[in-house]
Amino acid sequence: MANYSVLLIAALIVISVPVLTLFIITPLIRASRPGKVKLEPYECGIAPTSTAFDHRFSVRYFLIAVLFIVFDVETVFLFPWAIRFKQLGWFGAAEMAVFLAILLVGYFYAWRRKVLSWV
Amino acid sequence: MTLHPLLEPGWQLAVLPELILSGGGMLLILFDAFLPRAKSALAPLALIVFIATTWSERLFVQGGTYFGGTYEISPITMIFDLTFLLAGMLALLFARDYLDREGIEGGEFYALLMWGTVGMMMMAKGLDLLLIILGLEILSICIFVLVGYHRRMPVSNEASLKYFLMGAFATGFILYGTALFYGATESTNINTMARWFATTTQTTPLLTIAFVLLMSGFGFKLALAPFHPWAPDVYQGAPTPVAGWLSVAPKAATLIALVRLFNAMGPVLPKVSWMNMVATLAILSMIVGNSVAIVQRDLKRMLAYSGIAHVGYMMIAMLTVREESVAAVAVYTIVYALMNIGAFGVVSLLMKNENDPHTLDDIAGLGFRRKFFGFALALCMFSLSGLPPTAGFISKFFIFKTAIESGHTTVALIGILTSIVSVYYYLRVVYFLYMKEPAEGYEISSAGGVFAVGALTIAVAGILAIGLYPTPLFQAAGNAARALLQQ
Repeated sequence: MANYSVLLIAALIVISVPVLTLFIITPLIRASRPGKVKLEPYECGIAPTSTAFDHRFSVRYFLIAVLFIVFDVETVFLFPWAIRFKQLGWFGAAEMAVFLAILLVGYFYAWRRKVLSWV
Repeated sequence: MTLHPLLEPGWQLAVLPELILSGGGMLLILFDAFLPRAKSALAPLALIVFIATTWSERLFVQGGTYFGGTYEISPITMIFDLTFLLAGMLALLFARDYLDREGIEGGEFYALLMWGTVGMMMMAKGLDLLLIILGLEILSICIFVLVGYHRRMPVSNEASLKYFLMGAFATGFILYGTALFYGATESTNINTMARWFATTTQTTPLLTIAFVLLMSGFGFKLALAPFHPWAPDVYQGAPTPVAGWLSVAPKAATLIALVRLFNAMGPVLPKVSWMNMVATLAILSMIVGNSVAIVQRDLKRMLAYSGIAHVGYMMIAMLTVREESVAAVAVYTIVYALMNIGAFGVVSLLMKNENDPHTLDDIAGLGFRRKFFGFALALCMFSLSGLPPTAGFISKFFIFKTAIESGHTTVALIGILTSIVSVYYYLRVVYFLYMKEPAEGYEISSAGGVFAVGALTIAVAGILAIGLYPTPLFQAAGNAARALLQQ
């Protein structure tokens, strides 16, 4: 257990830094002058026109999000392969080809099901 | 030349069934996406993929472990593979006519059925708890989508969401139990765990918690009471052929995983009271399933409760893992696949509209009008209730026989008594089929093409053949179980 107590102390220090700065020290020394503009939610620097509940988001966003995740995961696996390219050799290349082929099936499927065509 | 240390020679043949099924699934969704008009070719194509997979099973004559001792091919995995393939094929054939009637046929349905089968094969062959969980997840994701496949029907969506929320929660239990097993035995590999258990004679609280968590998770997947309440709701909402598949195949996969686990813990199990817990689950399942099924008017809910009771019977045989009991479970799953998917299949065909409840009154008097369907449903009911000369009788008989020989007389007695109770609600279906007049103005559905008739023929022939001549199947299962337990 002695080894873990170090970990516990480290965790306490790590947690205490944001707690101290955000909730204890900063409120004591900062000036508090809230305004209408200041309290608005941040939206890429553009003034928000309405609340999120006033709009319906197209379900398309969900499909695009899913597609994004698919290709995001692809890059996650591509980078380590690129770093160990020489050591992995042809075996790695074949494995990656299989992996990409499976992803491509999903891509073609999405394409033919008109996920990529807008409106 | 070895490609990689974890790829033993011959690995291609070891995973050939899984490769064919996965590739076939991808082929089917692409086929449907590129040729959306050729929907009628989907089911035959899917059937060809399933038959090719079944054929590829026999290419493998030499058993062994692969992928660094995490994947085992043996006669028992082959028997369970064939059970999964049989269940998949029956569901596919029933689903073809059903999907056609509902106008929702698509390549995704068959692809998901195949990928789910791959997940079950991984569960049956996995020698590592992590691999078993991986297979379970592949299977579960396919089930979530298949249950909600009737997208425009709210009840189907509801069932899918219910099963997703509770299934994800149950997987958490299994994962947590596995983590604690790893903490206690220093491995997730079943063979390494078995070596660890062989050196110990007592258990620790950590192990008990791990076992309880794992049993809760697997109990959920098996729909064992008290982890069963999702089953009736999900079966009711799911497309009926999917409900039939769901009530059989995942249970078979979970049971073979449990057989491996119980076998690994072999030396410890008789000394601790864990098996009392499993016996309690079995008794509860049989009592709850059989008594609640009596009051159900909806056929799908009734079959769901009967499924809960049947898992209870199978768990009786699991109380002592030995050659005869494993063989009895293996045979029971095959027979259960034939009769339960057959029953769900007929129910899906006799109904006109999926959205209505499938009540007993809907099948009143159908026995004389749709002669073959009526006969098949009646035979499935006889078999489910365990009346000779059907396969249900002989498989149930062996379950109770092995339980009594292992010394679990009380549990077996409760099983026999509740099974007598079950005869009432099974035969009530037959009563409605043949001795009731249909309601005024009720029109009989004319669904049921060549696919469904073919599937029913397989089910009927299987039930009668195994019921009249069970010896070869029991011998094969016995030999396979001996090979499994001798390792």
